[in-house]
Amino acid sequence: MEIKDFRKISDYEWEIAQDFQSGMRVPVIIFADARMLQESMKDTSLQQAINATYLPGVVKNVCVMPDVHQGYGFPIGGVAATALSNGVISPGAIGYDINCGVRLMTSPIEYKQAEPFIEDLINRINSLCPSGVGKGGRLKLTKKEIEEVCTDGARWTLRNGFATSEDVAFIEDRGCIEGADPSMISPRAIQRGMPQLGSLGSGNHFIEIDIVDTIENKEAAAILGLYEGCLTLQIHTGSRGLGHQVCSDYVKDFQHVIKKYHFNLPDRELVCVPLDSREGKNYLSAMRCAANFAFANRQLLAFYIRRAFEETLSKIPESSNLRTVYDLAHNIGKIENHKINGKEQRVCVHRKGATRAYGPGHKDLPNKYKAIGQPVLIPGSMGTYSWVMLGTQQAAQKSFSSCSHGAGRVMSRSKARKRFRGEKVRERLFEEGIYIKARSMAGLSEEAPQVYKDIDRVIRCVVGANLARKVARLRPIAVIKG
Amino acid sequence: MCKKQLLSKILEVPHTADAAIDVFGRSLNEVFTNAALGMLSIMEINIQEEDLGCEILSLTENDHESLLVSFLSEILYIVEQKRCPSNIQIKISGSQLESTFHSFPVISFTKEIKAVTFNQLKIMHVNGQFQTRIVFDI
Repeated sequence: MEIKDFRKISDYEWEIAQDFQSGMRVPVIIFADARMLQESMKDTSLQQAINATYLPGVVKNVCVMPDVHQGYGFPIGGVAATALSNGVISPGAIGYDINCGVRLMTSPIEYKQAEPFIEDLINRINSLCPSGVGKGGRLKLTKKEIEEVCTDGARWTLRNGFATSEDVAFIEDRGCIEGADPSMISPRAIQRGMPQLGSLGSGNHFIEIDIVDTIENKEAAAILGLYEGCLTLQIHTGSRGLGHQVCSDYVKDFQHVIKKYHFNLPDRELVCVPLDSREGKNYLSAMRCAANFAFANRQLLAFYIRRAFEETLSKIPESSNLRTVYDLAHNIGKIENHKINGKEQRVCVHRKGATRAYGPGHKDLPNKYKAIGQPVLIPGSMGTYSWVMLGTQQAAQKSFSSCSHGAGRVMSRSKARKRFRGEKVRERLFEEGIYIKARSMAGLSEEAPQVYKDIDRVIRCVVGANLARKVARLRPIAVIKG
Repeated sequence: MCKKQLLSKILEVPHTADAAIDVFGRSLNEVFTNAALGMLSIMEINIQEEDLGCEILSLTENDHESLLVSFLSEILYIVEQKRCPSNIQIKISGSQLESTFHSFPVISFTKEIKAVTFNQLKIMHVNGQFQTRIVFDI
């Protein structure tokens, strides 16, 4: 692809027309500046976005976020909505780590009060929150309990003393997507989930302590409970082996099922079935189980982190006051109402590495956030800033109320391992005032800050395209890498 | 199989976020075996030298690509259950696969593979050699 293949809509929006390639059902809209657009052409991410336009029943356009990078079938940072009436659902366009997402928590504790205890705090969190390859959680649940988690999500954690009602109120969908049916997930998915609830996992998953570094919108920040110099905490993880198994099972089964529908798709990983088919409904029910498991997983980690704050910062007043700002999904399929060509339509929004970003006044927001819009959490790498943003009403028109989910990778893991040594990455970050806890030095080298795009440029594009507005910038001081 | 021979049958392919390998073999059986070895080498598994015995895996799918994904997914699951397959033998007949292997206790592994994907998966027969690219979700 070349730059001439794109129609410039604005400095931050570009279009690949529907007639660019035979078989495309809708155009692709890319939210990026000219340089990021050029850089996106270095891997197959934009071709993957074009491939996504082949999904039957896809409406309006496929969207590509500024943090886009190559995935497996659907690009990471991609959004596609399909009509409920005649559209499809594609498990591969949601991903294996169903409801991988981020939680932000805030505390009234100022960094200068906590500074002497930060190392102890991150060590304590590290000991309470299992992380790394093959590490299970602290709870060992029965099959019946896992089924309850799948049905009730974070409500299960509330019932069992692992959450407050305030936590649950500030999770997307209040921590439970209705319509989950554990009979739609395989015994193997349940079995894989049984030892893993309350564990971080590996790869790019993390727990990070940050300081509120800059406030850009004082009024909104106060509503979110963010104050300059205070501590915050982010958790990035998903549905673990249970979610991976759900997606694997349905991608495999749909390879057989799809034959009866005669869909023409450019990639078998985009395999899909009609939303209103028995198979489509079964997958939706199964995907919701995994999504609920992930909400409960992040809540359990939050519970242990709260305990670590209480124990380690006991000398500081309000050490236990670690409040959930918001918890959101960035790999998910959601049934939502959106205006398509001026008409309200019910669609299934596939978000793969993209965050929901409802603007002010949306009926599904917690009352406290109705006036300001949904918090949008965009973490940077472990050595760079993260951003707290708010969804806009323009995002509803432009991106099916979706926004970036992170900085986005630019370098392969194998190249990163050759270029960076985990020990050096840790040393350098320590010199910059960031404690790093990592199970694997090789894993740490793959997550070096240099393998990600410049988060500030991603944010500039997000703001320039009016997908979200800035509230606060967070600076990392301690990170646990899975 | 010695490491040098193995390297000529498996090539790591750059991938921005995940992992991909190109796998070659003189037969379908060999491609499947090499695919499993390539996947296990990505995971960097540390095993205990204690043979847990022979295991047999039987699978049936509609096509060879589905069979490959199912086979590798089974191997992933076995590793998650803390057993690492070794001396993998494979026999493919039509759409059926039978694999025998010896398993060894897993002490640890460095990289978790979330899933084996169908992304652009196509087993090709070119110049008397079978080959395919496999993308793994990391």
